[in-house]
Amino acid sequence: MNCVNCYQEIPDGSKFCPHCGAQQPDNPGTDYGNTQTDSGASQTVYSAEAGTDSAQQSGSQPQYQSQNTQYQDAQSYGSGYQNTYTSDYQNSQYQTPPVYQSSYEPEKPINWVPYLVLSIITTLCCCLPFGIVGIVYSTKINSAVNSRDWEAAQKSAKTAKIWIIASAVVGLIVEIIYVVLIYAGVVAGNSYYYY
Amino acid sequence: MQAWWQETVTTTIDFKEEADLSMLKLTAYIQQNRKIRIALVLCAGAVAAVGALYLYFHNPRSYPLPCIFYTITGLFCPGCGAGRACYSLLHLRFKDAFSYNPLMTILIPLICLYIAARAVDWMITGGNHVDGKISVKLLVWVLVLVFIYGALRNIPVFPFTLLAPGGLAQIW
Repeated sequence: MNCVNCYQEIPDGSKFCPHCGAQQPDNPGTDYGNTQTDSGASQTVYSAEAGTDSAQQSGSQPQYQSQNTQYQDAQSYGSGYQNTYTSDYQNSQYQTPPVYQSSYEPEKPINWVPYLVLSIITTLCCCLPFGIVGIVYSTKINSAVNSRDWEAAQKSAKTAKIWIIASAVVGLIVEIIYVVLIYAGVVAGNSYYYY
Repeated sequence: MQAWWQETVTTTIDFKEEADLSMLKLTAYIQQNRKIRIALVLCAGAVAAVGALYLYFHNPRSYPLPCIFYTITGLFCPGCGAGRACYSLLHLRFKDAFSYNPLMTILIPLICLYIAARAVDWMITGGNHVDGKISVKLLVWVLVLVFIYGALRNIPVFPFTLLAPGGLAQIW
């Protein structure tokens, strides 16, 4: 596999080019074949890790590919000594997950309580339709956290936040404009009032 | 050997999220600086106090605050009557407040308590120690109750008309 930016040879399944740092498009389907055929380095690593024949390798390949490509990039291109790194690879590096992988996943689940409370408040006090959208997204946070899908939970939390703020701002602005118009005598003030 | 590689990865990620980063820096700065937090909370408190003062001297009966939802649909929303309930609560007339909006009369003090607790907690610690102590079950029940209440108060038949704004004044 070659880098999309600088065209240098880089390990299969890399997410970033070790030479120029460019992000690579992920295509795990095609990466697998290349690993088996032309990359001796990654095969050594893989056999050491699995300790089994190639039939089993193909069975568990997708998971392996996704978990360990970053390790290969770091070690095989950094040291270049295949034999030494396969031996201390199991002891030192492989057991612990790569640092930058864990940085993507929040360790603490998002608490959906503040989102729910605030969306209920905005529904009651400011803007009913937007507040209800906020409530829907707040409950989505909870279901995403329950299914341990942190990324979806974070996405829902962001959306809920936007709707809550939109609800509060729209409600207040429309309310103020309406009141000003009533005082200015543009709109009849005898319609039913709320606050 | 590994360091340069990780550095490359980190810088690439940084570059991608540079837009988010400046925002994060700002929030982190506010989060760590207690003086700024106190100033922000006091500003918010001042705005709330001005709002309460305005409501105290302006009866919604003579200075109407229109409900957008009612104006558009002609239906009472679960919050309709909350302003007059607030006005009555500020003047310590609990019975009037209850007749305007029974549910909100109960919820308004709780909402105020929640916001005040969150604000004070955030002002002092910069974190959030309130939400973990709130029962989610209770919240869901409140939410369900709000929607049922909002539906019931629009039924124009006797026992339900009591729930409409000012409805309980028919009996009292």
